[in-house]
Amino acid sequence: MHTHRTVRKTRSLWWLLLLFTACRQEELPPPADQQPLPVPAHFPAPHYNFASNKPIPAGIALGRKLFYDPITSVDSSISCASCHVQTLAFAHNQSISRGVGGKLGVRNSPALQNLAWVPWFNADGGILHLDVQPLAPITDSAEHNFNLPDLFDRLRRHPQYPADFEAAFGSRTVSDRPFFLAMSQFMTQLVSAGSLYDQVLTQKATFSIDQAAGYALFRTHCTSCHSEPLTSNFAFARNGHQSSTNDEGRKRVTGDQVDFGKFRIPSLRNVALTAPYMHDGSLPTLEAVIEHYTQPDYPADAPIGTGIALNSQQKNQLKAFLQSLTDPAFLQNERLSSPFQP
Amino acid sequence: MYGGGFCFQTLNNNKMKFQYLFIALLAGATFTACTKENTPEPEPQPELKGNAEIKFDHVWGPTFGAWSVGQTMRHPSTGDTITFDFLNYYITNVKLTKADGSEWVQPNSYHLVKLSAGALATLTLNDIPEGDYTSITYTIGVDSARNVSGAQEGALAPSQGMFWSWNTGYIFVKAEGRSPQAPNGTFKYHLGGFSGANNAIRTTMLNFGGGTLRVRNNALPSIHLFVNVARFWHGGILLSSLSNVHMPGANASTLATNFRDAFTFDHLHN
Repeated sequence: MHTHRTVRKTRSLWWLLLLFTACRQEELPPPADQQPLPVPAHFPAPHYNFASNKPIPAGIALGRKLFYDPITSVDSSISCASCHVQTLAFAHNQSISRGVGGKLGVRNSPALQNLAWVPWFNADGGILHLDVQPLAPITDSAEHNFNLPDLFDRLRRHPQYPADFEAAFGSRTVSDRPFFLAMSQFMTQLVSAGSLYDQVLTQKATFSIDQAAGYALFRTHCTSCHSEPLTSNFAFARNGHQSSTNDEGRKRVTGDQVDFGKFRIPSLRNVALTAPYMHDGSLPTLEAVIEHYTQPDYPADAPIGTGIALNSQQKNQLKAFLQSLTDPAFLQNERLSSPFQP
Repeated sequence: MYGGGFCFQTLNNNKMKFQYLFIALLAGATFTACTKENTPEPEPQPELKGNAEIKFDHVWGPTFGAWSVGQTMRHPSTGDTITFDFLNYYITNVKLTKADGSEWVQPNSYHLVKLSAGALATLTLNDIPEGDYTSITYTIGVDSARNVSGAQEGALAPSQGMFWSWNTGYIFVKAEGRSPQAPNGTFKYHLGGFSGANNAIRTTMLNFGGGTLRVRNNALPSIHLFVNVARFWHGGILLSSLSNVHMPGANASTLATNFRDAFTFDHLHN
């Protein structure tokens, strides 16, 4: 009897054989439209399955237009970029952002970066695939307040979009799959891997004395959740922050009381730019966040518990390290900025 | 070539199967290449195919009383007054079985039944090999893999309005309407859940009561099923206590089981 392993081995052998055969034939240059995958060498393998949606320039360009175009909201007043601003690491400077008609949302707008490494989305982890993530803001009444059939109709009647869909997917048809795949092709380009921290990791630079001390503190107290190099393990935890919005956190999607008050651990990349902080945007500064972790509102999950002991010098060192996570090239990357004339 | 066509279908609909088939073909090709003698393959018999319909006749109560969307009814056991605005549900992974146990499994089998008026919904099954079939098996819901595979097209497209935006997964059954017994005068049952204790995927096999569905190239036979929509409230479920279900959980599971049991075989039309 074939075990699973044997079958797999056999299959690998056949692939090898095929590869061998292929190698003996003339080597072809890569197709002209091939885009290198946005995967930094010092990052782990991405979670997103690029084999099922390989970014190409026309697909990225379409996703970029859709990201910056308010056509995706019911009254064409709000685009994704309204609450995800490139110079703020695609976060927003409001505690809770407002959607169509000034309606207040429910949570702080998160930074968008390194999304191909994120296994689930939203602060409660309710969305399990990057491709379907844009469905939430587009249909939420406090965000774009729109629906897909009407949005697709609007894109079909647009003078340019059908041609953009054709360039990216070979057909002028505007429908679910090409729409969401284009969004993902652009969103996976939002890669932040050029901070001083990254340069230190890749041995191209060194920290200042304060940053180095802050990094040591970070590794002692923070990396069990904010694991390197993505600075998050994407698990769910209570961080001891009393919600000002009565948000039940992960319980909202699991219905399980044990998940009450747990939120997805965010990446800290570009954290100096993503104020205000926490799921409710109630902490205005990095100092306030560091202060919170020395004295949480209620006992947090381990290892924070009743608080991390830090003296004022250590707080400054930790802050200096957190500032080294800022990636100026990412914030200014023209390929990620609006394709529309201001 | 028929064989090639079959390969292509398999490729579209089942990656795993394709890989195995691919290996088999590769093995076959290698074998052929290494063998000197050329044994002629037997000419494949062109297999005729036909279509069939499933007709869902939505009815009210165990007596299969007349019902339609918008018609106000009294529940036979709870006494609640109930008016449907619409009823949508997924019928997937359809399978027809012959008396000898052999099966036709519909490839890429995802159908969305949308009932926004009247009582009758029809679903067409295409390209069924000719034969006499004695039972049908189908799933109400969407298999777990498709729930987490990103944006799909056709019946499974998120634009169908049967996909939760904030809590990834398909709404397998969406029933909405009005009832004076419900706290806010309406009921919304959005049933889904594809994992663990919250799994609301329900599979049913219905025998054709000794009859045979005769699938022929030049015919369009139909399978008539009763769907007793009053069955949602089976077991004494009152609209005063359960009028809104918006996520996977115990209530969704109970209602999904009740809805599965709403389906019974009525008759065949050959």
